[in-house]
Parts: sequence; structure tokens; C-alpha cells
Amino acid sequence: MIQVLDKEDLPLTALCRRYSTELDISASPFPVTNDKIRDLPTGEAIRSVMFRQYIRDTTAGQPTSVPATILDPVNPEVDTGITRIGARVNEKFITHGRSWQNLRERNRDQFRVLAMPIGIGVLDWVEDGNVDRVLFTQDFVEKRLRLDIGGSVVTAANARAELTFTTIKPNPQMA
Amino acid sequence: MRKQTQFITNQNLNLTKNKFIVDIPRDKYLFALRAHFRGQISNSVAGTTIGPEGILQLLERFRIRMTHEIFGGEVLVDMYGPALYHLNELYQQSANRANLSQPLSTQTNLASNFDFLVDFEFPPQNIFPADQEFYLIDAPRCSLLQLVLELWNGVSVIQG
Repeated sequence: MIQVLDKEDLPLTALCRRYSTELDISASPFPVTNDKIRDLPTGEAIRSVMFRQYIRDTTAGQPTSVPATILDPVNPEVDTGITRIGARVNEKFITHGRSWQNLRERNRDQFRVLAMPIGIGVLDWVEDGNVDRVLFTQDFVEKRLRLDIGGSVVTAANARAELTFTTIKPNPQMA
Repeated sequence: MRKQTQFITNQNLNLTKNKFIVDIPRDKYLFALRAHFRGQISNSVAGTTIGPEGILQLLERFRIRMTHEIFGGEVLVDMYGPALYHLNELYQQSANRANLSQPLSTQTNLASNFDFLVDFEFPPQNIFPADQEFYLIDAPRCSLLQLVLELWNGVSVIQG
């Protein structure tokens, strides 16, 4: 544990939350082609969404997140998994919206790694380290804006996509 | 920002009781946590499945929950072990170390030593250092702050 010694009175300005959810891409409403994949939560600011695709290992007793095979689709609308991806507002792409491998190439440059881990892709709104660039969604309901992840999905038995959100919730007493 | 490292606890992992809960000290603001896993495993039944992510799957879920005087009850982090590993691998440019004495094998009773770290920073990763102080957990304002680790159990992950 790393403690900070010279902070005593200031309350937390914003809370950074990270959580994983699992999306079953083996059955209805999938497959889809350039359509909605999943709604995104509104009300908090979104920093990033990390995707991890796999075929679930259904052996009795295995945790739900254990893969038998990791998915890393190359050919859009052909290979199994999420093959195109992006964030949309009112069905118009605001972030990315191209193929899975194109996202991974962009990530490779962004994170400066030789190769991305297999099956991993990240939609990130804070690529330059400036946290003010997060996607603010607090007024989306008021403005009747619909936010979702869109793209193409090819189904297979036990296919799963794990979405890991990093969101920021401001301190309501400091708004 | 002046920081200090403090040790919390050292506990034996129990294969049959797969939940590990520990109170996080609440006397100072917090920047990060580290969980260090060390041990030895073997596969007692030959030919059973070992997933492609190997040792990462030993940590099924990493959770930190709190009750805060302003934010109320919140789960700060609730992530699968492999997701947390990959997130750190990308954003911190130095992956949590995962080390095995030899590759996990389906060979009966072949023992493997494992030794790996799972780090977690409370501020968003890879942001300007000047912004980090706004996201430190003000633990003195929490009435509950707990780390909850869900590990494998006797019939999962490394079968046998």
C-alpha cells in the first residue's frame, strides 16, 4: 500500500472507478453488422473501455472469465467476435468505428508496445494524458443523446466479450 | 506529493476457501495497492485444461469496496484478474510481473512455482502527475475500505 503523507484536508475531487462486465456475443441480438453492440452508461465521465474477446471455457467449476480460446478477428464480418468497433452518439461514430485490427494498430502506437496482447483492444478518450479529454456524458439524458458501442459481431458458441470501463464520477459537493 | 509504502498483511492462500478479504488502513490518503502472490501449484489430473492465459487466471476477481462520507457505498474496482493485468501492461508500460518456474503443464503432479504481482493505482492511469492528487482516495473519510480477492478454488482454473 502506498500512502500519501502531505494531504490532510482536501476531499476527493473525483472518484475513478474501474469495472469489468461480460457480454454474451454467442446469441441474439447478435450477429449484427454496423449496428448497436451495447449501450454505454451515461451520467459519469468515461475515460476508456477495454475489450477482451474469448471463447469461454465451459469446464465445470471454471470461473466465468476463463477462456478456452482467445478471439482476435482479422476479417471483418467473417471471423468470430467483434470485428468492427467504435463509440457512437445517436448512431454516428464519434470514436474509431473501423475494424478490430485497426483499433489494435492504433493502440499499439498509442501505448508504444511492440505488439498488443492477443484479444485486447482499447477505446481511450485520454490518449495524451490530459484527463480533461474524458467523454463527459452527464447531460446526455437532458439533450436526448444516445451513447453506445457500435460495430459488427460474428457469433460462435460460448463467445464472450469482456468490457472494462474506467469512469470518473465528480464529487457532488464540489460541482 | 510525499509517499510512503506500508505493509498491510501476509496471509496464506487457501485452495478450498477462495475469498480473501482484508481491511485497508484508513489513516492516510492512498495512492496505490499491491498484491503479491507466491506459491506452488501442480496439476493432479493429467490431460485437463489449462487456459491460454495461464497464471493470470489464478486471480478471478479483484475488488475494492468502500463507504465514503460523500460518495456513499461504492465499488471502486471490480475487475477480472487478466483484465487488470492487461490494463496495467498497457498503461503503465511495465506489466505486473508474472513468473512461473516452468510453463504450466498438463503433466500429472508437475509442480510449478508462481510469483506475480497485481498493482492497482487509485488515480486514472497515465495522466499528468499534477492531476493525480485530485483522485487520491481520502481514506480517513471512509467508514469501510476493503480489498476483496477472489481466487481459484479446488475445482477451477488449474483443474485437478
